Amino acid sequence: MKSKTSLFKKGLILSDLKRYWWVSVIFSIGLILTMPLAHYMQKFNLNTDNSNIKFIKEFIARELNFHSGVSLLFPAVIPVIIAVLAYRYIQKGRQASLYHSLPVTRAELYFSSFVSTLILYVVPLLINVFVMGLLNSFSFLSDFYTMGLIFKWFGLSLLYGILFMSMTIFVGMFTGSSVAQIVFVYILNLLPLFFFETIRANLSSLLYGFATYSNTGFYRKLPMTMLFSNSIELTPRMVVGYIVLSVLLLAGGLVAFKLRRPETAGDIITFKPIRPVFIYGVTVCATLVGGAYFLAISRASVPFAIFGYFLCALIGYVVVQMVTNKTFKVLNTYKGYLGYALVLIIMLLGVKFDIFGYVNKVPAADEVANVYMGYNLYWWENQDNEKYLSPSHDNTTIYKETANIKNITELHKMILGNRSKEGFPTYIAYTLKNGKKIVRYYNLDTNLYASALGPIYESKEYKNGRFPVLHQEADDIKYIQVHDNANNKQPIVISDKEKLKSFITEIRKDISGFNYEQLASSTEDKLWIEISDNNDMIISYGVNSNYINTLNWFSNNNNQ
Amino acid sequence: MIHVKSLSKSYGDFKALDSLDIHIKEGSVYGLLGPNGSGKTTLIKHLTGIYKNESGSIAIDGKSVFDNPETKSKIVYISDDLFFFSQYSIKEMASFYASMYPGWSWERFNTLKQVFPIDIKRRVVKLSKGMQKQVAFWLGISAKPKVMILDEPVDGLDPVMRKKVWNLILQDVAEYGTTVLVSSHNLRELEDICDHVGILYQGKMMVERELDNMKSDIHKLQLAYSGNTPDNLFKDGEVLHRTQNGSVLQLIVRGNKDAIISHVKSTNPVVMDILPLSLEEIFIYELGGKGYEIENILI
Repeated sequence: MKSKTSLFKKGLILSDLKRYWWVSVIFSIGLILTMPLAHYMQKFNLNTDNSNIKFIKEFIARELNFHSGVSLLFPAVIPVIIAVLAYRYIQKGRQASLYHSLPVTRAELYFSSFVSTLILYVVPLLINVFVMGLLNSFSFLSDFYTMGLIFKWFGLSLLYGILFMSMTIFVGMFTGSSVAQIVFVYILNLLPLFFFETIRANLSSLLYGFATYSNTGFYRKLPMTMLFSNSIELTPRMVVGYIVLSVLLLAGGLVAFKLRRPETAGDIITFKPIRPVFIYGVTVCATLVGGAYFLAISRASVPFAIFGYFLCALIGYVVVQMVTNKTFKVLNTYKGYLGYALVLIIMLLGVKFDIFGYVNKVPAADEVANVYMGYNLYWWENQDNEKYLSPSHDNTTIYKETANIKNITELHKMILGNRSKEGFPTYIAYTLKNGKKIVRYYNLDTNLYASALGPIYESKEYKNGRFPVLHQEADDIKYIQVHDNANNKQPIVISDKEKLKSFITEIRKDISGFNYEQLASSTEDKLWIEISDNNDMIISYGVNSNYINTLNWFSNNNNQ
Repeated sequence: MIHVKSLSKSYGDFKALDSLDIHIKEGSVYGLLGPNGSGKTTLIKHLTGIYKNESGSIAIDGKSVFDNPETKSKIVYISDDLFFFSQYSIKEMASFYASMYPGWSWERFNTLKQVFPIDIKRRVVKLSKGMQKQVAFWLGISAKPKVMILDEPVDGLDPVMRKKVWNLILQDVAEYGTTVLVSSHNLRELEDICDHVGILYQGKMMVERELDNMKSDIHKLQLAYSGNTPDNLFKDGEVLHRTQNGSVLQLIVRGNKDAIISHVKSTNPVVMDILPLSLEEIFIYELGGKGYEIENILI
């Protein structure tokens, strides 16, 4: 045995380059047109006005940081195309025969194609780096570029490019069609988003009270969604994650390539065990889409949704059977659909009878550390996030008093008893003493649930949350603006500390005395008061006829 | 040289090869015969290392083929369904082969220009089907293989070119001991060139024979007797076939020619002729004797 082994075969790589150089040429031209040339022209056509310069500088920096720009499309598209071309021989029967009969190992074939893909992708990047580097050194663009930024762009292009080409290569092993390969790469990238959103859409109608955290879109961190989020923030961990993922995909691709049977070129799915995964995967997707669609057009009617599940599952199943078997005669596969329908029925019954106890779950009051009740779930999720500043104080009360926690669990039980769909959208979000969180979403009818809501509204905790003026002192307040809804006059501004003090006293008197009916009433406001604190945070109050003391104070002071 | 033992291969539920055995000696020209769908191409794709053997073993020169570049570099495969890179000229294709096959000889390639009158700057895919086949042979022979595996090779070649190509290949066989495996569904095509023939049917090797032996082993006799046919004529079951046409008796007999002649002479026939058998006839009688409908097997 000759011990001469290598991972690449030069002849194969040269042949790839010879046949596919044009992709690199187009890519290079595309890069230069959309990046350095565009930057150059922007600056060239500019009267050197400072604000414009700043704008261009930011624009270029954003582009090179992968935050925006047309050039973002390149790393998502070009590596996929190049990888498909370089591995095209596995998808074409005749070419597959030739390549596999050549005196090379499969590993050599695999890595040679990978090296070709890499060269065809990286050379245009380097050309672009070179061009931008030249402009940075010898043109007025040096005011806008830095070598650091240029190399950051190169690094990001490399990171994403290699990741997407690895995905394409990996996926290509499981299909025998180049078109399917391209389609699958993008579908797989969007699948998490798709599942998350359609499952959410379906469950929110099927499960009374279903709520998900709004920012649990884990898919936001996935490469494709991250790339187009316009705000790439790659932590070192993510960079390492992407690199590890690329390596794993390439290694997995090689293993699959070694097992792949060349005669499957042309098939949609090349590995038999993957076929059912594909068939039922598509069927599940069709079911979810069908349910979401029928729920949307029938205004969340569950019977229609169920009809939609079975219909769309059938359509999806028939189509995918036709595609994988390459025939219209798929009637003989009916058993698979029946099996699927049976599982679907069991699952729907499971949801209907709430076997996981999701719908009827109300935590015992003594297990609860605190509870949030309001519409602003986004605030609740981000309350610890320093970057997130709540736009208002509204609906930001977290109840910690034992009595209120008890009252809210009682209210929760009452809601489950009634299952009314009227009223204000409200989240109930428990944080349990063991750290777990339970979030539910209901419509809260203040009349229907008055008996349970009463003690909560009348509690000090509620009023303190809803009316910060109860704990704001005159010294904390910069000024207040009073708009009279009865006329269109300029608002009156009060900033005198003595006056503020007396105002606070009066409004506190009113608020402290309010009972539930007054707190829940939607009587028309007579005045609109904006209290601006020393940090310029403005809190507004609608003052209706229940604010007797405040209104009196205002009419007394207004005339002066 | 080539040893295949109990090789099986299935496409889904379809069994293409069913524990097949084949043995080809070095320097021989082996004709692989069989109707469409009998498994010829499947066997060939195993021999060329395109398919991995699911069961059984394949050895060429005692070494495995699949994923073994050392063995594969000695094999040239000319498929019935040729592939060339669409942009490549003959010369570029030759460079590609040269970079792949260590035995490649440019000298040979250039010498062969005399045989294949095609401009090497022409794009291969623009050539006619027959010319593409010529290019495939041109490239294949230039790679100086130890083993040539040809799948329906001469389809599309005109008779003159066919002869030229076979001459080239047989020259290599004689000179370098190249082993050739050639598949066809047409028996007549192989008759003149093969020294061994195997018939593949439904994934199984039905007969494997050395042609020279075979031809000297089976004989067609035409006899006529003045009276009744003697009872003691070929009693011991060597007769594969017998037809009586008026007074003329036609027999297909297996055995030593001289022994047969002396046996027949002893029965005093009025007329005795020994006629040559075509390969086709031989197989018809061989397989017919095994109870196969020959029309289904050979064209």
